[in-house]
Amino acid sequence: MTAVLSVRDLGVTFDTPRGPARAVDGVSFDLHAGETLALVGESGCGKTVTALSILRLLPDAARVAPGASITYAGADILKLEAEPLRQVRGAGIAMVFQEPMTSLNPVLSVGWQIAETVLAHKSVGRATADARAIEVMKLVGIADAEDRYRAYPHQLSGGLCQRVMIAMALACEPKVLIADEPTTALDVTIQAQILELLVDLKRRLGLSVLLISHDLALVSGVADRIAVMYGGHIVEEAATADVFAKPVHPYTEGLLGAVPRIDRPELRLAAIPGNVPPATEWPAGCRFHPRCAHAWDRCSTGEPGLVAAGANRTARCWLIEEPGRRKSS
Amino acid sequence: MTGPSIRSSAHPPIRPFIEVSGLTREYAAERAWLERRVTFRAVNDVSLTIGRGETLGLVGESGSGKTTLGRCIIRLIEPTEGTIHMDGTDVRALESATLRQFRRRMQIVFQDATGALNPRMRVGQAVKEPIEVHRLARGADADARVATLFQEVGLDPSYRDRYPHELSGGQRQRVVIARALSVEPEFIVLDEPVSALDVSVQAQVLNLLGDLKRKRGLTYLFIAHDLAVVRHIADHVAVMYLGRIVETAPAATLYGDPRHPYTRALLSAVPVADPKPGRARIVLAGDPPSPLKPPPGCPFHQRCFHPKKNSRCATERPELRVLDGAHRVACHFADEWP
Ligand SMILES: Nc1ncnc2c1ncn2[C@@H]1O[C@H](COP(=O)(O)OP(=O)(O)OP(=O)(O)O)[C@@H](O)[C@H]1O
Ligand SMILES: Nc1ncnc2c1ncn2[C@@H]1O[C@H](COP(=O)(O)OP(=O)(O)OP(=O)(O)O)[C@@H](O)[C@H]1O
Ligand code: SF4
Ligand SMILES: [Mg+2]
Ligand SMILES: [Mg+2]
Repeated sequence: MTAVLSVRDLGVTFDTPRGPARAVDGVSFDLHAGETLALVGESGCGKTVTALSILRLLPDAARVAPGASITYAGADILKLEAEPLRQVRGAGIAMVFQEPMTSLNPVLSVGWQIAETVLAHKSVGRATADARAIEVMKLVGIADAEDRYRAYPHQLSGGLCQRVMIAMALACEPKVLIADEPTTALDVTIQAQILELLVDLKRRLGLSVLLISHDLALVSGVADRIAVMYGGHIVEEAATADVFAKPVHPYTEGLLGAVPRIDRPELRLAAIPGNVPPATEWPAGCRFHPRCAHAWDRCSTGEPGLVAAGANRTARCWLIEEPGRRKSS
Repeated sequence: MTGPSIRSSAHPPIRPFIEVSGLTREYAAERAWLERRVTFRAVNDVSLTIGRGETLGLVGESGSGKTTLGRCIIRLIEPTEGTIHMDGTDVRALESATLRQFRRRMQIVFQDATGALNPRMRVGQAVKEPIEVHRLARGADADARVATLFQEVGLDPSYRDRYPHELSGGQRQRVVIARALSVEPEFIVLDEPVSALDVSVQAQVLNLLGDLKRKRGLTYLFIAHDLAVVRHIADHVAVMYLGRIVETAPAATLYGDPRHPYTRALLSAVPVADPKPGRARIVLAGDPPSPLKPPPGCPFHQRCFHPKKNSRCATERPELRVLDGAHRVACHFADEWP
């Protein structure tokens, strides 16, 4: 399998009044051609910061680690000049953001906004851009695309606004789509529509998708592989079926137990004790150790690296070296 | 409405703890391009009962009227029509003095714990205040109660001196739950109490709510949009659509044998944390209609996929009728699934 996007040793630090916040640290992964890779984890674990780094959309306050690289089409995005970067953002990698309502400009019609994206990235005229806008609105299943072209965001439902965002992302025929919590703000029946749309578009257009979500259940149905993040690290990466069949990292195991399942009601959920600490206060050693059921003294002193944990899977946990320490549940 | 369950003994029937009948709440819809004000029904002729010590889960899409219904039941919002009884007392007929007494017995927990707490008040004081307002205890006695409550919700009592921003989201929601418990309520409306929390913390709070209910014999109205969460905590479930209840049943029945097409679609849309294929997902076309212009006939008919759906659905609104025992459904063809 060929990687369309390779992230290596990505680190992002913010300077805050409480000291440096290491939002993302030592993150490496490959997105393969035609696959959906899900980046999953709780609030604040670094999912959005990772996504923004790929498109170089981080705020100025962010410092990217000097050794990091993000390779796309043979070039390191982190080192690109303005013009090639613009090319990558338009026709290479496109992004759909979490809040469709706030990402759209409220005073411009949605069709106009899609056409503007085309004009910004392609040397075409207004009429061609407008036609392309209507074409992609149809592509994402917006009925009456010609009429809806003139609609303002507030006149559309949340689900339609998210379709507009996806249409805008696809307007310049990207190879890679990054979708950051594309359905979180939507009702469950609309969420199902949007997921169906993403799966269908991926197949029809041969896209590679980086799907960001806090919801393991949601990604289980659409992702080929899952990378679980905790505390700015990827703590486990494996094929979706493997993650669910046999989680290696205790955090992944904990998440699977904590999610209430509609097909398996239980009296008590297996909650993970404690809270995620702020990014300024990651504990020494393994960042998960204060909440981990298996932790021993090594976990509070040494930081485990991301290592192979079986065929085609990696994890960041001392249990891989010392499996005898795993407590049976 | 259907009344309390009919008993064949000589004793008078036991009234359910919470009994809501014909509850309607209208709002004025501001429409800039119209001179006159139009009203619409955010909650439309809702009847429901909750037994003492039971949890009714209330689910439905955004804007279906869940919050409005929950707030009307505890009279945080005045209903336009309908009656509400708690423990046999007509809550809407209460005068201010007795209403205050009743308010103590009915509490509410909101989704947004941050907004529910005064940012400049220490969280211990936030829990103590209602105890003193309702004259349940004073001074050192009240402080001791606060310490006990903190322990009960799984917070170290030393956290009493912190301000809300010094706590995590899950800890703040525990404070809000402790505050609701401080006046020893019997009935709590939980309006999306875990929606804003991360899954690992959500599980902690759900476990806590379940433990408290069993220990204190509490009665809950649990509002949520996450059907997996509701399955976990509710004894009965009611599904709302456009201000009306379209299906209600004991949880096992509703999840095992849903009869309204909307419930079926809702359940099939819930992602299951299991990559094995096999579940057919029903993807509904279109968006829910606007409550300002409810469609004639069945409110669901434009999105409906029931194979028996016909012209009757577009003209005649199906009543919420008893299908079997406590299972009630508002669909003409609820018992005609293939
Ligand atoms: N501009 C910023 N200044 C300081 N810290 C920041 C900034 N942006 C993000 N962070 C911190 O970086 C960490 C990672 O944030 P990020 O937004 O990537 O989380 P996330 O995984 O996307 O969470 P969510 O699920 O809530 O969207 C957090 O601890 C956050 O507080
Ligand atoms: N104070 C108000 N004035 C006018 N309309 C209102 C008011 N409060 C709620 N509404 C409307 O009443 C309807 C029901 O709202 P409600 O908040 O009860 O829905 P909900 O089911 O709780 O939705 P959500 O899942 O988004 O919380 C919506 O159309 C809403 O816009
Ligand atoms: S009454 Fe008709 S339209 Fe309504 S849900 Fe039943 S079959 Fe569908
Ligand atoms: Mg994010
Ligand atoms: Mg609500």
